[in-house]
Formats: sequence, C-alpha cells, structure tokens
Amino acid sequence: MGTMKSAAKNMMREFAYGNGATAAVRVFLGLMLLWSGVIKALDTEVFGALIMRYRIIPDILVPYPAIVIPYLEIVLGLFIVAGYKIRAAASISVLMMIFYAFALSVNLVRGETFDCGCLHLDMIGPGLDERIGIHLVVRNVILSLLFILLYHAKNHVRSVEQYLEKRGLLKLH
Amino acid sequence: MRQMTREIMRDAFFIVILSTLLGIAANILFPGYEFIGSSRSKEGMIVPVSAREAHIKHAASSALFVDARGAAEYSSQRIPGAINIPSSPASLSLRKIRESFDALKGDRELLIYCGDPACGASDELAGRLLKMGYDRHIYVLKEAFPSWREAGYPTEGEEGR
Repeated sequence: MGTMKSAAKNMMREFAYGNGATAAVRVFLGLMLLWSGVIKALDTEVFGALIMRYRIIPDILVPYPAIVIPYLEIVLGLFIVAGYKIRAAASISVLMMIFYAFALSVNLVRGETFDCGCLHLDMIGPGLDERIGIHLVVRNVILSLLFILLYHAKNHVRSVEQYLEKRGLLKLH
Repeated sequence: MRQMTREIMRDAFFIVILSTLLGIAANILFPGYEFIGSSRSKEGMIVPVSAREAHIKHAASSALFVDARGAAEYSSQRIPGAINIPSSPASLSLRKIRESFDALKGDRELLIYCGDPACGASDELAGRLLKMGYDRHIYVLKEAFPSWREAGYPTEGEEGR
C-alpha cells in the first residue's frame, strides 16, 4: 500500500515537473484553443452576437473582443502546441479561462440556458450539448488548473523551447 | 525571479499585440464584420416590430413566423404556425436554415422572435440568414415572445394558451 502511494506520488511529481504525459496535456490544450479560435474566426459576426448574449460588457464594445479573441486563441493554441513562450501563453490562457468561468457563472445565476459557444462540440458529434450549466463552469476551472500546471512545469518534452535550449539558443529559468 | 516575471509579461504582451494585429488585419482583408445589432439595423435590413404590428402580420398571414428558441421551448408554447430554427448551436441552426430555405424565401415576409427581450437570438439568426443570401427585410419581434403572450394573442403548443 505504502509502495503504491509513493509510486503514485512519484508519478504526480514527474507529471508536474514535465514528462510525456505533460506534453500530451500541452498538445491537447493547444489544439483545443486552436479549434475554438478557428471556429470563432470563421464567423466573427456570430461570435459578436454570442458575446452580446452574455451581457457582460456594453454592446458598443462587443466588436473588439469579437475580432481579437478568436485570433488570440489561435495564437495561444499555436504557441502551446509548438511549445514556445509556454509560460506567457499559459498565463493568458488561465486569465481567459477564469474570465469565461465568470461569464458562465453570471449567466447561470441569471437562469440563462443558451448554448455557450465555447468549443462548438456539436460540430464534433451529435448530443454534445454545451448549454450553460454548472458543468461548464467546472470544466473551465479544470482547464485553468491544467494551464497552471503547464505554467509550473519545468520540462517540456518535444517542444520548441526544449529544442532551442538543447542547442544553446535559449536560456530557460 | 523578477527578471523571469518581466520576461513572461513581455512575452504575454507580445502575444496579445500579435493577436490584435492579426484580428484587425483579418477584418480588413476579409471585410464582413458588420455588427448585427448596430450596422445591419442601421442599414434597415433588420426591422424591429412591436407585438401589435406582429399580430397584424399574423392575422393577415403576410409573414412567416420563425421561432429562434430551442426545440423544447418551441414545443411548449409558440406563435401559431411558427416554424422552429434555433439560433444555436450553430451547426443545427445552419442545417435547419438549409432545410427550410424554400419556405423562408417564399412570398411571405419573415418575422423572427426569441425568448426574452435581451436574448439576441433573433438578431443572430437574422444576421445568419442575411449572410446566407436572404436579401429582403427581416422583422424581429422587439420585446420577444413574452410581449406576444402578455398581449393575449393566440399561442399553440403543449402548454396551449
């Protein structure tokens, strides 16, 4: 029992430090952002209407995030998948996830049930509902934690940063 | 530590600026971001109407009513004769538009309504229809379905009147 516990502890420690599993999480998070950004960028107008439905920011300001957020998600996704500027990208992603969780929570309290327009999972398969609910807030909290893990990881397997560091082109702290 | 924080902040700033420039460039290269709530209304393509005006169109059968709410709300209670095209999820909405495009492009005017005055679903659906080639005015019930119900106009569905 004790051996199992210490093995699990070691596994967690390696995961937090950065191993193959951490890299898999990194690629997953990056692809998720990339997908989310591309879908929004394809129809910024509809994305603008969606932001308006959240009633978080004044209508007059809505076009700005509607134009910028999709490309921010795309750039963050690319950086994270490639493993470059990981800490900066993870920091922005955590802030974004916290803001999304806040927007979802406010509308959850208001009793709204519209489709959150987060990841457009309905395009992947039928029945993957993304109507506003507590599960989406929890999902965003979990994603925030994963981005925090990415921020703290010291070793990024199969990343541009690791490649550059090995060739002495980059000095990581 | 302080230097590391400074570097992270500098990189984060670079990412945000890069994304902003990309967003603006994409919007210039592919013009099309016209904000539904303002520009299209100003152009007069989306016309807000009151429940009374909507009722006149309904009584004269001059408009096809489109319910932009979800299927459950539509089944529960709706304006008689209205068809259901939910504004979201987007894929379902687009499929329903394609399925009903002949009816939508018929002789009658289009009048879209959603669940509450701030729902935005009517504008979203109207914007999508305009983008997909609908080239006539689209009427939107400005105070949404509750204004119709509260005015005592007829409804149908599982809940009835």
